[in-house]
This record gives sequence, C-alpha cells and structure tokens, in this order.
Amino acid sequence: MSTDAAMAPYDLTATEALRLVRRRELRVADWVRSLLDRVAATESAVQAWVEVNDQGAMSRALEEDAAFSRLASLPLIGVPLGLKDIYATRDLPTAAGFPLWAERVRGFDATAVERVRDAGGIILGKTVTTQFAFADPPKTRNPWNLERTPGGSSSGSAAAVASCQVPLALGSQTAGSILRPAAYCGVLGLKPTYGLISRYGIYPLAWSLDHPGPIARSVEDLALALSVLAGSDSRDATTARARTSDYLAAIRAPRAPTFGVIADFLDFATPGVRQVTLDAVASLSRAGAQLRDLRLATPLPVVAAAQQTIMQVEAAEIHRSLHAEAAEKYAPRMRALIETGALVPSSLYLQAQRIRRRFRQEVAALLSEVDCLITPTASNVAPPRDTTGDRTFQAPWSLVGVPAVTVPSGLSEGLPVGLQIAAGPWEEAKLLSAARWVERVLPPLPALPL
Amino acid sequence: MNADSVILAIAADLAAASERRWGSERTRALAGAIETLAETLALVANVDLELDDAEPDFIGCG
Repeated sequence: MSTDAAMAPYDLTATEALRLVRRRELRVADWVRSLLDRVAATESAVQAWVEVNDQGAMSRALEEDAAFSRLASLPLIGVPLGLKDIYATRDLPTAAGFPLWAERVRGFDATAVERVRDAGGIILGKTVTTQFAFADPPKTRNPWNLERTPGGSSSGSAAAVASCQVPLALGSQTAGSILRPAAYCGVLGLKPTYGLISRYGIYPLAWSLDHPGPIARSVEDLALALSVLAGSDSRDATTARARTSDYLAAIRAPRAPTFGVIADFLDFATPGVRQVTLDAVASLSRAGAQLRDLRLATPLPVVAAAQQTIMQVEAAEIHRSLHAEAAEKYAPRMRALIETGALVPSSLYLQAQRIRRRFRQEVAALLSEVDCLITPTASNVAPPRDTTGDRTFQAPWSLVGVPAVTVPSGLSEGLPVGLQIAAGPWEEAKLLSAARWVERVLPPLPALPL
Repeated sequence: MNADSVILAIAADLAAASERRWGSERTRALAGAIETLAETLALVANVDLELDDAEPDFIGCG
C-alpha cells in the first residue's frame, strides 16, 4: 500500500487522492464520505460552510464510481470542491451573506462552476463569505486558533481547506480576499491575472477588481484547478484576451528563480512576520534563488488608497438599487462602504485610476528585472475576530491585475505566515513554477492543532 | 495645503454630500467611515500626476 493510500482520504490533497482514484485504489464515494465525516467532526468549531450538499455530493460520487471507465479521463474526476457563496449554482442557494437571499436559488451555474462540473468535480457545498465579499466579520473561525479570524472575504473556503474538510475551494479577491485568508489559515491561494477566469455568475463587489481563484493545500492542486478554470468565456468580455498555458506541465521541473524582494512591504510588516519572511528568503537564497532588493516609487499606502477608492465607487454603484430597497438588511461595514462610496467625487475616482495606470507601469518595470516579486502576504498574522485583517499587502496585485500566489512560510505567535509571489500578466505558468520551487524549499507547517 | 488640511477639507465635503444624500441621522452614523474615507482620498489627491503620463485606465490588466 502506498503512503497516500495509508492516509485518511480527507488528509490527502486533491492530486494525491486523484492518483488513487485513477488507480481504483480509492472510490470516489469513499473520498466524499471521508470528507463529510471530517466536516461533521470539525464544523462546530470552524463554521466554514453555509450549506453542505451531502446528499447531492454523495449521489454524484456514486454516479462517477458507477461510470468510472467512461469518466476516467476527466481532469477533476471525483474531486470535491467548496464554493464561496457568491458563485451561482443551479441547485443550491447563493446568498452572498445577505439575509434576504438565504433561500435564493439562482437557477444557473457560474461559468467556473460549470467548468468544474464538466471536468468531473463534485460540489461539496457553499462556503461562508463575508457579506457581498467585503469586510464584515463572518461566523467562520481560524482553525489554527478559534479566537482568530480566518481572514476574508473567502473565509469559509480557506478555513475548510485548512481543516481538511475539502481539498480545494474557490474564492474571489477584490482587494485581498483569496491571498489573505489562505495565508492566515496556512494554506495556498492563487489570484490569477484579471480576465483569466470568467466572473460570469459570481456576484460582483467591484467590476474592474474582482478575480475568481482557487485555494488549496499544494501548488499542484492550484495548477490542477487553474487548468480547468482558465480561459475565455463569451459571457465575460474581460476574458476575451485570456492567455492560457499548460500549468501542470509548468510545475514538473521547477528551477530556482530570480526574485525581487520588495523592501517596502517588510517596513510595514509586524516584527514576527518580518522575521519569518527574512528567514524564508534566506532559505530560498541558500537553495539557489537569485535575489534583488527592490523599492516601490509609489508609496504602498497610496497604492492601497487607489484600490480602496476604485473598489468603493464601483461597489456603491453595483449596490445602488438593492440598497435603496433594503439598506437595513446590510451588515454595518458593507452598508457604510456603499453609502460613503456614493459620495466620492468623480475627480478623485479618476485620479485613483491614473495612479493605477502609473503603478501598473512601475510593476512592469520591476518585473523586467526578475522572474517574480516576493513579499509577505499580509502585514500581520490572523488578528482577533472583530476584523478580517489587513488588505494592504494584497491590494496592489488586485489593483493592477497581475497574478499572485501565497505559500506558507512559517509560524509567528503560533499562527501561519504566508509568502506572496507575484508575476507579470498571463504568467501563471512561471508563477506556479516558482511557487512549486518555493514549496519544495521551505519546510511544511506543523500539523494543524484541530 | 498640508496633509491634515486636505483631510479636513475632503471630510467636510463628504459630510455635506452625505447630509444631502442620506440625511443627518445616517451622516452621524457614518462619521467614522467618512473620516476613514477622507484619509484614503487625501492620499489619492496628494499624488502629483501629469495628465500626459497617467491617463485613466479602467480595466484591471493591460
């Protein structure tokens, strides 16, 4: 029996379990049952799910087992996934954290969901999102310390993957909503290039900043998910120029990259996060990475302010009608975002867009010198549950639309720290290859205390 | 104007706009959010850009 086969199925990454499924050493139904049992054992503590589709998932698993010889070539055959509860699903409610929509079934699948199902993936359920993917604290807890936030807004997706309730989950990021919760929960997340994954059927927070993306426990699983999700979609015009690659091939033989370490981020990090990051960077250097110290010309707070301004104006407009009907039903921070976003003068919105353009040129110039940029993923470790954390370090990559990934780099105060890696537009293959190399060099985090 | 003056001026404009749009009660409730937004917008407003070298760009990735 292989090592993978000796582990409980819930403990395996998607790729590890998929190998067993393809060899018929693991039945899809047994994999799903193991995950449902894990959810039952841990959910009262973690609270990662809005709805677990146990009957639907098990029914689909049995169908896939029965038709295995016909479906075996599907890239996600039997892979269970969690969906952030802003992804429309034809058969489950999509509430986006809004109480009036708790029972609202949208009756169609988001393009990303459609692609997952067509690839053989099994929807295990809907994971908790902060209301409308903004910043009101959710019920979900950080599996590393139940008194800390898992981060947001893809709170349930990150916490569910971290606590081995599901190997893979989909989230979305407008400022830092994939990378920050993944880092706070000690797992990996990918925010791809803007326009690489269709946003069709995903409830928007801010059109020009919204990025769907996966959360997982290995780079291989991120590459697997991206290989299914990436590509143009006639229902989302921003994907018209999407450039895809063979992401799984790209990570097979990763080489030591040249990294640009952006010192500005270290200046704003807590001492614990700074130290973990410097230790990780030293390990990468010893393993053969070339390092260059870089500085931003545009101050980090200005970059974050431009992102915030654009997000706030777009969110206010998206919610104008619903807010007029049901302002009292909004969570406090989301309501304030809308009501103050509606007051921003157009001249300052345009100024923020101009800063965005200039910063994009600045990032392109930095990336002309190195393969990838590295920073801590967040300025801090997961704070208490009255906040979803600090988005300053992730917002720059959302603002300019370049891809970024977070890989666990160590612990501070007993909580995970992430290393954030960013690359140029459409360079996910290079980014995932670099992340795979980093994943091999850095020691894994200790076992989750749950 | 120094940075604090810019924040105060923007906050005053936002509060006036809020009074007109949402009324006094909501404006009082939004006081903290208005102050935070004024600080954010002041950072944006204080950046010196030439029109020629930084035209607006509305889509995430060029």
